[in-house]
Amino acid sequence: MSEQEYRHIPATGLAGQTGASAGLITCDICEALCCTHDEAATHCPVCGASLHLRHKDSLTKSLAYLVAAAILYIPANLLPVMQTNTIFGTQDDTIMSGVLVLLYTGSWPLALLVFFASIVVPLLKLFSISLLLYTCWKKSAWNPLQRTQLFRMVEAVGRWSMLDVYVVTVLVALVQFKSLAAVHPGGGALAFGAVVVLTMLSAQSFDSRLIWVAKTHE
Amino acid sequence: MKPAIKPAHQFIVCHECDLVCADVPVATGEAASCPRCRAILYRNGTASIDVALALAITSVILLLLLNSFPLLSLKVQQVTRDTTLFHAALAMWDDGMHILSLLVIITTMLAPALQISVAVYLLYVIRFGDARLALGAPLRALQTLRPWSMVEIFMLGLLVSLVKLQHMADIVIGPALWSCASLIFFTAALTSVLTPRNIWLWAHAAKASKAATGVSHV
Repeated sequence: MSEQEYRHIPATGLAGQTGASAGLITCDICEALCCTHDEAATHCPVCGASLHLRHKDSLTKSLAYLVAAAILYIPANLLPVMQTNTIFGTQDDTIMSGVLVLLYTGSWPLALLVFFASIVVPLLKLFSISLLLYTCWKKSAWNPLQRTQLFRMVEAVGRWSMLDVYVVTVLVALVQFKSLAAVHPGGGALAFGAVVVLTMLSAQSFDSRLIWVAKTHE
Repeated sequence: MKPAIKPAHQFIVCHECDLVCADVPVATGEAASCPRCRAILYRNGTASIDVALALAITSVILLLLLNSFPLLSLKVQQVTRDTTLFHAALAMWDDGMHILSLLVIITTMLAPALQISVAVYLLYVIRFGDARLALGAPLRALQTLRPWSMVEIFMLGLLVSLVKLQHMADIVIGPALWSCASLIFFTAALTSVLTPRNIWLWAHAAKASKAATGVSHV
């Protein structure tokens, strides 16, 4: 029993009315509709979560996480993520060399998967969030629907970059045969894990409602 | 001039673009989506609270199995090494990667365990307990934990490790790997059923039926 297929029915939107202009807000947590005319109502009466018409300092926070992630993206790719000691010697593997090893010894679909999850997705996330932050900061009215869809994609695929961290974890735990073969984690793995967490935090801090601000004021 | 605020449940404010939409009933198996940004506003599924509770309890059992049995065993020249999830994370710790080890423990053990326990608590309280108990805090926890629970990505990491290891040793797949695979399936089903909207619907129905029969649970 996986997720059901639903037929999608577009709801009727009240033309031009936004929650902000009507003094209505949907609680992020419990989806209860709350009225914000009451100045004191800063917390959802149903579940007690704090309510914001827009996330506080959304762009600043998101940008801060993004910059940190972008900086760490460099060591994440340059430093080795793991070190393999065998009787034949020591070998350092970076993310990219791990992909190449998979390509030569494993199968190309798997190499492609790891390449996407570890290299393409983090890079696309950095660019996409930068684009979203820039356009929202400029209050751009450019293609809000496509930008929203981009954001949805960023949120959905972001976690999958943890793949390489888990691969290293499993290899480190399993391949410990004293002098014969042993795998140790490298600094790249730490930087890489940090990039994943920071880009996730950056996406979570971003308030997608900002994409539509310019549209509303037209 | 601001429009008069109708009773709150007639509207829903899109959480992604802030458009005020009419909360119209949709038929079973249909989902209402925002006409402007196409976010799904709500779904009318057929799931009952009993189904959700069954899914949650199954997930608890699978999670316990996943954590108690070895994931993979590796055989190299009479030496066998196997690892459980926790030991894999600990191996990382022993190698000096403390932060990474914690990240693995949080995303593959702590977050899923908390997520499932909170789900069981919520459903149990609504189904058998006093629905007037505060549901807000657990619901908030559930929504916060969701992106940080990465069992499905860990599973993919296991599969990649399996391919990487197949050239160097004999691999025996442990029982925990099968639990991991089924856990992904059941938690995905649980997540799709355990929406805030469904929780409020179940809580209201439970309250109404208790009021009607006059039965009070201690």
